Amino acid sequence: MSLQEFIKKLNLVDPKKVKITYDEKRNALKILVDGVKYYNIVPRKPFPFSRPYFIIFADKEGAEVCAVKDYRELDKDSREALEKMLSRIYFIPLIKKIKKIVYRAGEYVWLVETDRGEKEFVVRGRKSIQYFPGGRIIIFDKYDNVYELRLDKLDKKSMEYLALIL
Amino acid sequence: MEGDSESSIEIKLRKGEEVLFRFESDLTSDGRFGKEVLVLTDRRAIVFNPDRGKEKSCWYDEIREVRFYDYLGCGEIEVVLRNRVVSLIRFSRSKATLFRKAARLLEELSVGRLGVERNGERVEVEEEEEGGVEVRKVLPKLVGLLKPYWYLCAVAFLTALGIVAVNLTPPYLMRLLIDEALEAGNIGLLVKLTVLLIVVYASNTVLSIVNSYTLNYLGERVVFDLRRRLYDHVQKLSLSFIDKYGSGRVISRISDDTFRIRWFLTWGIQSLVISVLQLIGIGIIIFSMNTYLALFSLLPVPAVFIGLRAYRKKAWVYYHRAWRKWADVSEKLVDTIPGAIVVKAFSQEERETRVFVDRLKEVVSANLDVVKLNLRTFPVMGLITSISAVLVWYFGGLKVIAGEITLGTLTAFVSYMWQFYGPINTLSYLMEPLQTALTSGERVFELLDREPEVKEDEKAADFEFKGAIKFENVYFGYEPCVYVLQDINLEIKPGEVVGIVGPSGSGKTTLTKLLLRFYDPDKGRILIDGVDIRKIKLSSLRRQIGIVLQDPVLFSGTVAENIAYGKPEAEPEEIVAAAKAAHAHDFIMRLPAAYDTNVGERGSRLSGGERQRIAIARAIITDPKILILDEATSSVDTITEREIQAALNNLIKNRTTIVIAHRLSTVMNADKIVVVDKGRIVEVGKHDELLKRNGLYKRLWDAQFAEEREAVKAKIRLR
Repeated sequence: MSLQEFIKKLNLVDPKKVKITYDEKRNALKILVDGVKYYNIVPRKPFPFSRPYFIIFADKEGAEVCAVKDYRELDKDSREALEKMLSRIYFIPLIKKIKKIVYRAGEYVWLVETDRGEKEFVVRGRKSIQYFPGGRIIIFDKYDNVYELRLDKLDKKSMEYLALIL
Repeated sequence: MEGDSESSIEIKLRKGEEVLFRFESDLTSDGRFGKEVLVLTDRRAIVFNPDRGKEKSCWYDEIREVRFYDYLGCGEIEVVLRNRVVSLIRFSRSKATLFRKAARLLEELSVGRLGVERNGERVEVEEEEEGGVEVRKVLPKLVGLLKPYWYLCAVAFLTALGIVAVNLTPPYLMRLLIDEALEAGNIGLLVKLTVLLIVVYASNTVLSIVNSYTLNYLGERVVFDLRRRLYDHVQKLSLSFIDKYGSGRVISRISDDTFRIRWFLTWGIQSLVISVLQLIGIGIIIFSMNTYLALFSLLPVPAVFIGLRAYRKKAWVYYHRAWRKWADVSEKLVDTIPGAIVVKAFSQEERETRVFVDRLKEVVSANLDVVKLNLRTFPVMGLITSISAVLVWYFGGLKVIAGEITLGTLTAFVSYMWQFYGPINTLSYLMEPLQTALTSGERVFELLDREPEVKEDEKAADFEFKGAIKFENVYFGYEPCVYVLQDINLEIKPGEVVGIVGPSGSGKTTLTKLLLRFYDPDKGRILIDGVDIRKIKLSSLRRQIGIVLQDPVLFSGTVAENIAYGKPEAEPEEIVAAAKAAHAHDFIMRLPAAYDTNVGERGSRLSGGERQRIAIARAIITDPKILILDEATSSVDTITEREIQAALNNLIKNRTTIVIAHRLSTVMNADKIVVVDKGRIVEVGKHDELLKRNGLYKRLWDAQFAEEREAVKAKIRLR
């Protein structure tokens, strides 16, 4: 089978033809694709950092229903419903300011201000930091919590701290 | 090297007989060091001893078998003739590789009946030689690296000259200060000299900064250029090069050797030049000041120079010993801490502690030896120089009292004398690193001078494959004339699934390496859709052939980046589709960051089967027309194998697929099974046909079943 056939199986649909609503009872999404309704749907990001708008919709058993390449093209209501659900699944605080980075016994202790509040976390080594195009940096702490950082949005002081470890 | 031995002994050749190869051994047949030569002609093998003139020979048609033996410290080639066995030649281990080749050639010539091409030229088998560095060849090349930056070199050199000159002035100014300003109470001169001295020291600082930055910048530029050239060159070289050379060696050329060259080109050359200039400068000054005192001050110089050289030699030994002793300690730690379970299980804690303490003691004594050596050297040397300084003060003092020289001259003299020891020290340690740097240079240029063996035709074609493959009379060997593949003729239709089986080492993988043009065949040709692959653009060829290796190499980076390695511009849906086709999507989605998960450190969490499936996804994202699976399922368990098998079944439709398999069950359903043995195709057919034929395939099949039956029996017994 050619790759094209596998792409077809993925059922990539036009975001404009998808209607999404949040189904409070099931804590899941209800989606309407080309006139067909699917219940109990959970959105999943195959590329949470590099292509965060690519979504695969699957039911709670994991059976995949369809996918959209860029959910920003959904209508406003659908997008809001989807984002509400996504924010429950993907918790990636955005670091707004680095207050301090201290080296302590082979680990770095970060004290940061994020869009979700202040937080101190411990990072082990350079492999825990992933770089993505456009100056986006993803940091995993020692418990696999994830933080995002955007180089263009940091103040000078934060950049100085960052320079100590990058 | 071989010319003289050749002229000193004449082998009696028959009419028309031709010498093909010569191999020189370093052991005689009675087991002494000495020379014996094995000559392979087109008809027989001759062994002769050039010193004793003894000669023996075996005709190829008499030889039934050639045996190669690896013994302890030596080896032997033996030939089995019709009615007896003859020990042909003996050699030490240093010649083992060479004679392994000789044995292979002999076997092919005699038992294999291989027609070695006779183009009238004698084929020399290369022997690796370790020679000294050819300074005359390497040095100009190294200096040539500086050429694009000649202006930086000029700045560095001029500033260095400036530093030398500036450093020579303070003692002279001191003399003026003492003799003319202080003695004569000339305040005006005192002020002038003070200002001048400040200017001198300030300009020294400025010059040093400029010089140091220029040199460092120059070094970085040169090593950047060199590393880029090396890396680029290595990427273009054929795979055979890295195979032969060893990847570790290539890595150290690019990292360590270039580092040493940088040191040499910047600090090395500069220190050498500066030190020599300083010595000359100071020498001229002190001799022109006072020859008598100059001779006195030079007295300790030979002692210091010789002492320092001797110290460096000893220090090398002592420091290395201390370092080795520490390595012994580390080794023990690395062994016993991770292996604590073994130590405890055999209750050997006390013994291990004892051994550890013993080794620690040796570290202490080795370190103290270093301290003792340093104490023996430097204080003594300090004493010698101090005494000579005192002597200069004494004899100079006498002259000052006698009014022959001034106090200022004497002070300046002593300062110059102290300055003498700096360059001597530098020169005494410069020699070894210079030598290593030259060796590094030689190695780097050796690598840069290599030509890629696989070259691209200028008029190479780029077209879409249909997937028909044809091997025509293909011969190939990694070593000259030692064929790994012989007389390969094979035709594969587009879309066919072909299994290649055979004992390990039979040349299965080499077939695929030739198809991908990692190597070119020695004879014959390989066609894809009727076009010789040498006439196809390399990039086009490799893009349209996907390969999955037994042991998949994943690079650090995310899963997505690894899958899209051959197609960096791939759309996300293509990546997901490829992963789905490879049955990898589900487990990837379970990873913490799905396709964005780093396979580096986190990748070690991936199991062999998972890595294998990522490799399969990587192979098919370019939608290749030809797919090669090289023992892709041999290193995984049965369940994973089934999963991978399912993935593969997805892929083989509409593609020409070559499956190299160890487990015959994998290729049972292939359209065609090719059985390879000792580099030749021995059987071709479908599974059932081959079983009926009762040949090698049947034997391999039976053997595998027997193994499985044994395994089942063993399990039953265990229960």
